[in-house]
Amino acid sequence: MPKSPLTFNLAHYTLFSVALLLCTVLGSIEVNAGMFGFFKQYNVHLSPEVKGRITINGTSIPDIEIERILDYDQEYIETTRTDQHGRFYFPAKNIKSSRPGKLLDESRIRQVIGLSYQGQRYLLWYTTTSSLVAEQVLVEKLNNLSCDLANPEKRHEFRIHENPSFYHVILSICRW
Amino acid sequence: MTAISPRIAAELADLVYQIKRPTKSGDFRIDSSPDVYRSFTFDLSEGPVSGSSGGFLGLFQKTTGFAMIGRGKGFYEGHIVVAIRGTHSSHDWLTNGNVGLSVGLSGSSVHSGFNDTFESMRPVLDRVLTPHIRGSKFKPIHCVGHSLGGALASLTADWIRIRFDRPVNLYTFGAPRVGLSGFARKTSFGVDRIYRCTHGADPVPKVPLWPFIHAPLDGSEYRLDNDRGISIAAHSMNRNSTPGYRNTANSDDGQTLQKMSQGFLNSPVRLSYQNRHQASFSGYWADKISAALITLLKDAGYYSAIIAQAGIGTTLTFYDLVARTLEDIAKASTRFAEQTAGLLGHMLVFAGKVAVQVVNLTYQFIKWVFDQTTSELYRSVKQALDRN
Repeated sequence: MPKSPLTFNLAHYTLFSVALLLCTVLGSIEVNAGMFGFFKQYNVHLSPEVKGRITINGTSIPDIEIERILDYDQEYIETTRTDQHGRFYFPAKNIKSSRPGKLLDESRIRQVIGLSYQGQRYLLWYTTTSSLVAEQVLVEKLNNLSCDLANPEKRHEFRIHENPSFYHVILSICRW
Repeated sequence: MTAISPRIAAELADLVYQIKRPTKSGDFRIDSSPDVYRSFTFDLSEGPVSGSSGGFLGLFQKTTGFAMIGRGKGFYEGHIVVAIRGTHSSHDWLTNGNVGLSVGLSGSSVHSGFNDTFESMRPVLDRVLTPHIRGSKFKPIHCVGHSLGGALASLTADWIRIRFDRPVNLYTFGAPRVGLSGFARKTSFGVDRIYRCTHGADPVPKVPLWPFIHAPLDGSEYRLDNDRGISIAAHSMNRNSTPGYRNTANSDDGQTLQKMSQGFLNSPVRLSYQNRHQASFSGYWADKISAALITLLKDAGYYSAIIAQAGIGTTLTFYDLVARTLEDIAKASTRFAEQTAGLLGHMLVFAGKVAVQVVNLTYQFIKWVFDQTTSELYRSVKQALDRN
């Protein structure tokens, strides 16, 4: 197996630089990932099912476009429209990605759901998580978005079920 | 002077990873925890996020560094936080073994890659911070960062101290070493409080090796777990990792964190060849082996001459010089030859080459041992990555 130029240069180091080498070697491995089969694909859960209803002062708004933007290794954008009762739906979104296996990766998942109505932007959901699997609170809340455009946007704080020392913070006009 | 809690510091270091560009529809928010929300305001009305004017800038992005600036409120009224992260492209600085040096703002030698990144951010930091350095001169500025962001926070703290003459605190998580002893000394004495937080198995705080030195100079650190060995996963910041700095720093009070110091830098370490089997592949032995090398150079009277060369060129040329010097030292006396063999023997065991005997102490031999060590490391690192 050919040595990478980086590894070859390292031959000039003395032994005590081992920890330093560790990182250099890591760099080489990332570069040569194909050789070692490191392009492993991981399951990443970007969003659970979304169900909701749009109203304004209690009156449902039919046929309005809703946008879901899921941001991880790239932006995944989907749109849907409300039915005659103002209801809308997005399926769960799961992807395969090599990102979790990347060295020193600190990527986060951002979930944004929004709509524009009469020139105004409304946020139905805005949150970030580092979890690559579904989290109970997000599943529950996204399954029941009750959004009245007359409501002001609010910070909603929910303890994370799987790790109660921390909070999900969701910015939204919806109420639960 | 008030420090921010470990919990808040860790969240700030984590929060900069959450910051993304606005969506195509212009949506952007900061979903900080109740703790941080109560304590600091990040106004995003200026900067590239929305492009509109006014307000205290929360965010900007330039070249390979990225910072978020928050203004204290409530209990932290008058305080300022600067949370910094590196980007993916700048991680090359952590994985490249041949480290160049440049002269930092305070006139001491620092990692040239870290320094270049910091310098690219400095004009914007200056423009943003200057209007808000008012009020009590006694209210601190807190610099926070994880990994490369910790190195950048350290350079930022050094700069703020000189530029604004305000108290500065530094909080780093899994940060690499930033500079040589001159920089570490200035940081140790100039920065009011240093919380250098590590995990036992996180390899990043172990690089670059001596002559790079951590601040504070007494070698103390806040070790947030009891893990040993070397594990790539131990470097992660987020709460979904194990251990994850967010989880291990989740405390309201810095007093509760375990402060420890191996003190190797300040006391002599002489390794006996017969005892080499006690070494292992770990951060502990990486530090101890470095300390033994320093001790050997000091014992043989070469330390000052060697350290005078440390700020010149790169670590590659420096270590080459050290290797040649070791050969000379070993020739000087039986005692030094034994001490050198002890050092090399421990290095071999550290690298898993348990059966190899140290027989002659030539430069060529050192290189040979070195090659063996490289391939062994290559294998163990591959295993560490395969586990993911």
